[in-house]
Amino acid sequence: MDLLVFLYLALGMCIPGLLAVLSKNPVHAVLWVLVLIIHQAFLLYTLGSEFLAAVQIIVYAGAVLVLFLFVVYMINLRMEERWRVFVKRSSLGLLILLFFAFFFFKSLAFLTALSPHFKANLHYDLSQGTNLWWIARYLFTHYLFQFELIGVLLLVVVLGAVFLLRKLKEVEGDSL
Amino acid sequence: MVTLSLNFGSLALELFFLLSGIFIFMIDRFIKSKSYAFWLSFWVILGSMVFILFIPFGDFTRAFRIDFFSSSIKFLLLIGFFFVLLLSDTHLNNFPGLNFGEFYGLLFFSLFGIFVVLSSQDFLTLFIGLELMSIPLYFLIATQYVYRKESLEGALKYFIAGALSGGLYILFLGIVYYATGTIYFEEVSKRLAQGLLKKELLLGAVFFISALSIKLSLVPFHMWAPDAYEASPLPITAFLSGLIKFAVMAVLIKVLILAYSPLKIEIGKILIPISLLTILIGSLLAIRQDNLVRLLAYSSIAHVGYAVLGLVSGDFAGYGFSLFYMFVYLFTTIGSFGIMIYLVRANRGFLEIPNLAGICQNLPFISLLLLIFLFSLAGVPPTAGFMAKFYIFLMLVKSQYIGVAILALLVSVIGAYPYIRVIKVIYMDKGHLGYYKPTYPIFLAFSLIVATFIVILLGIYPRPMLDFIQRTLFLYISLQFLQL
Amino acid sequence: MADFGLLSAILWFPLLGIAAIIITNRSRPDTIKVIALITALIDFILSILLLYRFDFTNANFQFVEKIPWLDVINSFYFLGVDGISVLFVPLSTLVTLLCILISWYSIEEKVKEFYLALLFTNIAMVGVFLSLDLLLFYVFWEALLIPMYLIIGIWGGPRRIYSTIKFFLYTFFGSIFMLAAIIYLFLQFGTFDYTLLIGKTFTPQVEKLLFLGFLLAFAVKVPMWPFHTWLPDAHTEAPTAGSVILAGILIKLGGYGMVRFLLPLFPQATLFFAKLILVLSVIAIIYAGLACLWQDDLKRLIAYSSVSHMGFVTLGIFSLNPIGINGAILQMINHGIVTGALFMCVGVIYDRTHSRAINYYGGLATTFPLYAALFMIFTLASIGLPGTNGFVGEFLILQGAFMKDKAMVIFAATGVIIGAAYMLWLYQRVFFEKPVSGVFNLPPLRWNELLSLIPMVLLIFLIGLYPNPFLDFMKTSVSKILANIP
Repeated sequence: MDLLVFLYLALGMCIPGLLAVLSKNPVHAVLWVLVLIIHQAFLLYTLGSEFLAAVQIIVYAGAVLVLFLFVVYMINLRMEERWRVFVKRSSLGLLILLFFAFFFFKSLAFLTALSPHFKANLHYDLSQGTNLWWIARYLFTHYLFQFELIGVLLLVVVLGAVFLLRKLKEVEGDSL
Repeated sequence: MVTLSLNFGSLALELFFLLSGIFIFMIDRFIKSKSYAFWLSFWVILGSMVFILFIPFGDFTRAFRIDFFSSSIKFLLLIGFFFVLLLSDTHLNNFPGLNFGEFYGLLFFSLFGIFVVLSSQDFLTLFIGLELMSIPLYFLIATQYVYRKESLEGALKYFIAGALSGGLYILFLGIVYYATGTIYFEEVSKRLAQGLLKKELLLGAVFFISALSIKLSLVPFHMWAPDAYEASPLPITAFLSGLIKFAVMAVLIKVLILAYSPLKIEIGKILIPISLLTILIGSLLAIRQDNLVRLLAYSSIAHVGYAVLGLVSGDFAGYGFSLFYMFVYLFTTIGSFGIMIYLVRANRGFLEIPNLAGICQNLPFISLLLLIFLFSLAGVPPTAGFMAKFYIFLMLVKSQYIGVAILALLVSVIGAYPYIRVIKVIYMDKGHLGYYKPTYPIFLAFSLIVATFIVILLGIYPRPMLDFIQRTLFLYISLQFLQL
Repeated sequence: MADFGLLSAILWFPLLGIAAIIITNRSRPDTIKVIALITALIDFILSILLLYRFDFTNANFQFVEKIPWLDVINSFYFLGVDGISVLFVPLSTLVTLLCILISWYSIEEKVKEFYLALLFTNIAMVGVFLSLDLLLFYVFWEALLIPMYLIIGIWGGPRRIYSTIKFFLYTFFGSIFMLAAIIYLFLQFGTFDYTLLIGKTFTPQVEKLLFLGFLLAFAVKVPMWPFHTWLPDAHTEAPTAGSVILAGILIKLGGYGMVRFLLPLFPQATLFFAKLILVLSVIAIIYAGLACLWQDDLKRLIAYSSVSHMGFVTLGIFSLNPIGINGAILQMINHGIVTGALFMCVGVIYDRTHSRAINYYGGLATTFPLYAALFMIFTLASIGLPGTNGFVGEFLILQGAFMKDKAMVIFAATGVIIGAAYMLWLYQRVFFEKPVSGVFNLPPLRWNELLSLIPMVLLIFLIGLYPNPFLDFMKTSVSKILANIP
């Protein structure tokens, strides 16, 4: 049963992924990525990390993809639909693909070899609390400082973006 | 139950900067005259230069530590930052389209990031600090688009390079955490000292160095530098190439000492080809540049290459020489960008080298200063640039990397050419461009004179500065080994 | 130690002049010139005082000053003179003084920068001759490049930029290897102190490499035969003062460096390479002499003759006996005087006619007699006529070389004949024959030109007729330097 579910989810990620790359309509492509991400979230859930699954849905499906859709709507990307070939040097692409595949399998072996170390180093025990509980506990105790720093980071980003959009106007007659 | 003692005293300076930055953002709407922001930053920085001497050493959680090393480097950086402020004031008065309080506010946020980076005790804080340091700069570079539309491109390039750096860093972080289960410098060092996981952590180090080489613009991650430099307002360029690189070099040294000291020889071997290529490519590409900022961008690439050569031997004295090199470079940068700010006041076209032809006729003082800085960049005695290079070569030969030293020496001859070409244009070509002769604003004159003084003083008598840096490092290292 | 500080005084005194010039307004060029002249004059008087106080029976370093400079790396501010360097110090200050005089009217633009550069050159030149710490030596050696680069590049002739960049890169390239060798020496023995480094031994291979490192720097400066191509360009395009400094002092630095460093520090390698350098010297003498014969540019001809004369100097040095080396040092001083004077002479007519082409001139002897007489004296001194200083130097060198290698001397002596040929032919083409239109009504020699040429004439005859006091200065030190060479 587990295997069946895994296979379904895996296919549910691979096929939309391919379709997202291959479809010429950008809106369709974004929607295929949405399908991909939802399957990914379920896969994470079956692996027992409910927190990551939720993050996947909220952040990627909820925020990032919506942004993508906005961008796609705002800049008119109808031109690509009429191109016959999107990428010209497909052989180069194939080479890069092969390289990454090689890299991927290598690193898989590398990570598998490291896995016992990782298990030995685990600081938490899932029988004592859920993922979410442990994450919250670490975030507000051990990593409090980093957590606050990320808050500052977000603040800076927001302030900067507002500054850039509202304050600056092009100066006429003087340029560098 | 975990209890935390939060020692805000050691975080005081950083909070001070953060609050100043936020304060500027809050009140900027309500104040018309923008010079308040400069004066606020001026006094804040002067105050912190005094204040930093009284901050007690200590931790704020495990992640953040004030110690002798970080405080010393911070003090040097504050001096540099002070001059960047002075340059900014001159530049913004000249370009009113940029003159916003937020300019200084963002600079404060970036300084906050630098300080976090320097005090961090684990790889995660380091990462967030690096991002905090860079993100305000993306905005600051982009501000220039009010005068120059292409600036957005440069800002975007820097942003993408920064994102790539972040990605590589996260990969490194993942490997380290997966392999050791910890992100703290000392813990990683302990695992390494037990002889565990050397191969895996070395792989991680490769990603770490790649991530930092984007900030340092080492080959092959140097492409963004010329575009971003050209795109930024000039004081920001000085900030990018002087302060940021100094800070990143300091933190690279810190990580090599704290986390990776058992692997420092191997990492040094990785750094040799990187730094040699960096010097070579920086020097070669500088030859063809016609824009002064782009020329200095390539020269900054090459100079960081020399500074990294001090790290290859894994000798602590070499680390000190690298820091000394970056300090000299910091002041050379401040001086040369100060001169450019002055030149741009005289004529907007003066950033193109051919337009500089014959300016020594009407601007003799500024030409003389530029001459001194260019010879310092070329590494000709009696300027500080020579002393800095000399110590690096000394270190290389001492640690038996004679071949590397010879190669670097040969490339330094090529590297001298672009600078003497600029001198040639200024002093020996006939001028044709009309311009008026602007006055010297007091802050600009002050920073130029101080920078010149330092560049010549360190060329003639570098001993006290070198002693200071070496002692800082040795004290730091010996303390670390006592703890281990 | 009553004389303590004299060397520092000579070395740094021009700084006062530099400061005074910097604060002088550039709209008053005459004040600037007078300040520079007075500075150089006082500096020259100080260096004469040095000669006067110098004890030439003592082979050790005198007037020594040693203060820690960079004690992290054990480097000292270490000055001193011995018989080898003591004559070069007054020569440098004299050349600076005369350069200021000769440029009095010919430099009209950027006057302030010019005199600043000249005084800075003076500091660097004297510094090179005085320093006994290898790092300090290197710093002065390289610092000299900056003002020379500017002097040639700013006030030079039409192709000055090509020449000055070539000059800069050539010499920079050469000295880089010296820096590498200096660093190696330091790491081997932990000191930059010249006096401590004498008598250290190396494995033969290392010694040869170090020797080559130093030699490359010196050979480019001298310049020896395959490295000479920058010199004709630089000389030709430099302003008069620049040519005089180049000929008078700068290329002497190479020869001085050979005597000072190569011979005592690396005696075995010196013996090993001596033959090679002798051959190169002879090639330089003959090749450059022949090259002189088909030059049509006055300055270029004299520049090639410099290469030829410096060939004699290296020949003398590497004959490795006291006579040859004494002759070589004396010849360096002679060459500084004579060639400097010749460049000044060319400058004199160049200022009046703005042409350096030999076939532009003719018949100057009738229209410009006093000048012709002075030029004759310098020509004869350059050829080495007995009674002039050139004879003493060349004779000693040839005698020294004869003791070392007879075949070389036969070839080198033909160089003397070629020298007579090109100089006399030059004189004939410029001063005799029918006067051409451009040389009538030339204004007479100005006071500053006379003042700068006459000391040269006096020195030529002084050294030519009574060379003993000059040789006395160097004798003991030269035999000390040769003590290490078996």
